[in-house]
Amino acid sequence: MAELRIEDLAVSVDGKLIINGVSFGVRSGEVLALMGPNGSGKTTLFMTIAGHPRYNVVRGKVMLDGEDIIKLPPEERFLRGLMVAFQTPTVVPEVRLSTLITAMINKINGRKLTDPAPPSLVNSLMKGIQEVGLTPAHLSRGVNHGFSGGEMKRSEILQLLMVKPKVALIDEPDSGLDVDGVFAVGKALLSLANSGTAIVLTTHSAKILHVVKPTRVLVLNRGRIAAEGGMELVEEIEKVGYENFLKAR
Amino acid sequence: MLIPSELRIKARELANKIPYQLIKDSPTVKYYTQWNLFDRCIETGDNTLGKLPQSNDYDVVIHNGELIKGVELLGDQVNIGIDPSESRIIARHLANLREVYPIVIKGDVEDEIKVLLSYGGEQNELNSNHVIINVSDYAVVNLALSIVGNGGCGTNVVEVNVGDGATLNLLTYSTNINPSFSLIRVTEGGGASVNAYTIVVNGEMTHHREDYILQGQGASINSNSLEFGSGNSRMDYMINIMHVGEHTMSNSTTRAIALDSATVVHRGFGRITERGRWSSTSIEGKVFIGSSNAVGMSVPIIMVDTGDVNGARHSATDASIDEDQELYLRMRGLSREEAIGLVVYDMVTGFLDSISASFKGSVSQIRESLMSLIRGR
Amino acid sequence: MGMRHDLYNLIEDGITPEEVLSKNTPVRRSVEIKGEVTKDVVEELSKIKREPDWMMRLRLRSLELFNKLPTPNWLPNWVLDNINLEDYISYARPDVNRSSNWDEIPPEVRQYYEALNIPEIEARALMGLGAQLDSEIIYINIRKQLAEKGVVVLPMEEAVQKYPDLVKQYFMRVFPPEHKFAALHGALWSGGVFVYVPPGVRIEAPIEGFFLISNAGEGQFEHTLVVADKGSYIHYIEGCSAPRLSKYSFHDGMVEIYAHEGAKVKFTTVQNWSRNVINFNNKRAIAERNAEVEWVEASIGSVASFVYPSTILKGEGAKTEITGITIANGKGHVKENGAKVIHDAPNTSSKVVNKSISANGGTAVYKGVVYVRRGARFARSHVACDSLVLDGDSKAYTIPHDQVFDDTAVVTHEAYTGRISEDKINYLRTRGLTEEEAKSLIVLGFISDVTEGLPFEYAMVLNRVIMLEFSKYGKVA
Repeated sequence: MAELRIEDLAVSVDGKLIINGVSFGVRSGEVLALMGPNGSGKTTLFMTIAGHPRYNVVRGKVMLDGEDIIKLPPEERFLRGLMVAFQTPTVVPEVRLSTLITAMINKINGRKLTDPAPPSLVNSLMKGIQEVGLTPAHLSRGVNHGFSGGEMKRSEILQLLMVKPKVALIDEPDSGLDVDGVFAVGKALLSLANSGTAIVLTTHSAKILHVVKPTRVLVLNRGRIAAEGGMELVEEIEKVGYENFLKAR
Repeated sequence: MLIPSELRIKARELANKIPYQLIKDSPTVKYYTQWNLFDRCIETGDNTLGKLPQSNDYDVVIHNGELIKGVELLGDQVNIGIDPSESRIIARHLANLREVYPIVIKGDVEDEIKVLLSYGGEQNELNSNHVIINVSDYAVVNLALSIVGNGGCGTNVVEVNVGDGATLNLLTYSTNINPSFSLIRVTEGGGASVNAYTIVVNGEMTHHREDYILQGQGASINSNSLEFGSGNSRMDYMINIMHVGEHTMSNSTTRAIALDSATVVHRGFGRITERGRWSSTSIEGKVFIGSSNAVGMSVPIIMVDTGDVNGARHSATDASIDEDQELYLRMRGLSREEAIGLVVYDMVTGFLDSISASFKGSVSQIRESLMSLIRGR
Repeated sequence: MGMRHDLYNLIEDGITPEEVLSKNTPVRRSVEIKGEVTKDVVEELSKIKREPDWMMRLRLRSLELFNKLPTPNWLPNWVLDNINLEDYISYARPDVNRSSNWDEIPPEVRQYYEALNIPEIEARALMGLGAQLDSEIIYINIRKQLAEKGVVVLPMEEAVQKYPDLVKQYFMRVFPPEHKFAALHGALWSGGVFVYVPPGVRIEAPIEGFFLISNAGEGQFEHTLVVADKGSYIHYIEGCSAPRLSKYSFHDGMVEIYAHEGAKVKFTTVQNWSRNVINFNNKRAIAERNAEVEWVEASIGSVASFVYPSTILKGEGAKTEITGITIANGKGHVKENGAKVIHDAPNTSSKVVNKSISANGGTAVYKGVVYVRRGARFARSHVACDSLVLDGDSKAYTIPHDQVFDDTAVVTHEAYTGRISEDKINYLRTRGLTEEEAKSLIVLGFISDVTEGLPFEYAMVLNRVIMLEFSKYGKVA
């Protein structure tokens, strides 16, 4: 049973306080949906938990399985089971997607990075490609190189499916995807949760939440949690929009 | 075929007179190739053979200027297409040779024809090899060329004449230890096309130069190269493409890797002469700087002598992985060193995977050597 | 194989860039620069200008270096053949009467200025007729405002006399006499402008040297020095868009810029010299911590021009942008432009944009260097060169060098050379333009990167000049 626990987190970026007192927890198999208008601090929260050096923790704790990981560098957090799927992933033309995925799995299993992928991984990879709606050709391209926005999203989700981390933070998995794409990614996330990953995701349109039904919904506004509840919050936001939703609270 | 004596005399004379280069390369880095390192190499005259290379895998083997294997492929007398007045290194090369070997490749031989130019000797010995390959009109040929140095300095010149309408798939693999000068000069006839893959590995001072002269109308060259420098290697890889015929096309992509304290230079030169009207050239290069003491330099030059062109373009990048890429890979569990290792691995394997299936045999040999080079780090 | 006999011609012509570039250079046959500059000439020059000792010594040291240094071997032979130092020595004397008669100017030339809508008084100044533009009321007021802020804008000779200590700190220290023509300049310099901006002072409106200083733009050995103290801002414009006649056929000017911490200097040159001119200009800037230097170079006129603005990014966080357009219009015209950037400190960045247009047998050349030294961490550099070659006889060369000694740098370069696409011309013709109008419009769009940054009048005149140059393909003036 893995758990990510955020306790009274406050984060500043370039001297500006963006997150001011956020607390929540998520356990294996749970799906926490983080919603909020643009600029509410969702990406900042994720970047901080992932360990991006630009984001300054002013106070609070980030506990992974009881260990405060604030001081750990990003690669250590990954090895402890925390993985993030980016909103705008970086392009790394020199490293092929297949090479990166194999390297990550190898590292986790104590093998040499460039050891060939074991047959089990190759099988999973082929299945995974279908699940997220990519083709084998994408595997031989540089990471995100020449990928459309939607393809980048699918590629990030594919990586998650292969690694099966303890905790997955997914920043807007649905942006850039058409209806079928949202469906495919949603199903993939559902299977990820079912295999035990604790998932925190932010979403742009909330449509994906109809596929991956969240255990809990948090609404972030101006660096603080403005509301906490279930799917009913999502439905209200879909009906009246953020401005009215937040005004009513 | 013996070198004509007038040529030999001229070469000997010029070898001590003319400079390696007439003008400096740039105001900041004066010489990309440190020619002074070649000054300590002495012409051996009577080329001693020393340790012979393994010949089984090859169709033609030339070692220290002597033909060891492949006499069946030799052709008749041909004109030598390089002149000692070009530069001191070429004069020295011609002065150090006794024989040049003309090879004729006629028809459609499915398998790769493997040619090995090998040289080896004491550190200060200069050994030279020279081969002239004629590809008949309309032939389709797969040629795998290896230039291997096992000690001592080397000058290796390969002239390739591609006949009208012929297709040449050329794989060149060169690995050196001490100062070496390699020149591969390919001249193409009308409608000829060349697909070239080049891999150049290490060397105290490796000057590897490829000239593609698109002489006949409609000739084309597609070149993909990998330059790998580690340890204290210093490499100057130069690809010169000269459009002389009309409607000729060129495309050149170079990936270079600089590790440890190596200095790796990529120079790409696309030239469309007045006669090369309606031609196009595109040259792209990336030098990956993989360690803090490594140096990468790019010189992408375009010279267009007429406005009647279809376009000439260049792009060059010198960089390591940037901060964003480093961070992304760290969030995937990789340290900076591991990330660089992965990039190097993928640049090499990706390149090998892209080589035409016609070279399956050679590629698997090259892959073995390169992987042991990378793994041994 | 019938093609072999051609190979020797190719070899003669040169297969590598180094061979091609050295084909027409002095190395192939020795060329001596005509005329001699003696110590006496230099001493007399210094005395007439009433210079302090240190300046005379600087001139004499430069002369020594000039005599010792080798002739640059990257120059075409014909350029060197056309340099005659005897001419300069006589013209360098300030007592020579420069003004001549308006009526002596050929009528076509006067008409050309009319076509450009330039007021007669400016046209006279452009032709070196000694019109004292700076005595116009508008310019007197500008000078007053600048003086109130503590900004110094003076003819170079006056600055040497009035502010010797200040000038001495910078004069030929930004660009020492490293090569032969810089040394010649050091010995014979005359005229030019000195600008000093005090700390924190920001001058928003550009300072137009040509109009403010009566001697600016006349001499061929002009020395301009701009010193921007901490946190200041200045935009200096040198030259003029309209064509200018010059009696002297060889120019060897120098521009030095020193941007102190946090200062920002923009230096714009619009050069449109008459076709008898061979124009050298030695341009260099040093940028300290967080300083920014922007060079804008529009090289329209002269038959040959060799100008490579360069910036040394000496302080952490320093930045530079070098934008250039070069027009080589006419048979035998060789216009070389370029950029040299040295990244010498951490977190520095550079951006170079170079555009050239060659027509009627002209050759446009870009020569650039981006050098990142070890320890200059996180350097970022991008160079983009585009060349338009308008007809079958014209040429364009792009010769860049990227030399990176630090693994945290990202240095990129891209270049494109081509003609105006037929598609574009046809499209514009379907919108009612003639082929020539279409070409002019495309050319103007091509150089808009540079004209956008110019003050309105400059841009306007420049556009008119270009339209005239290319509409009849330059059979003017």
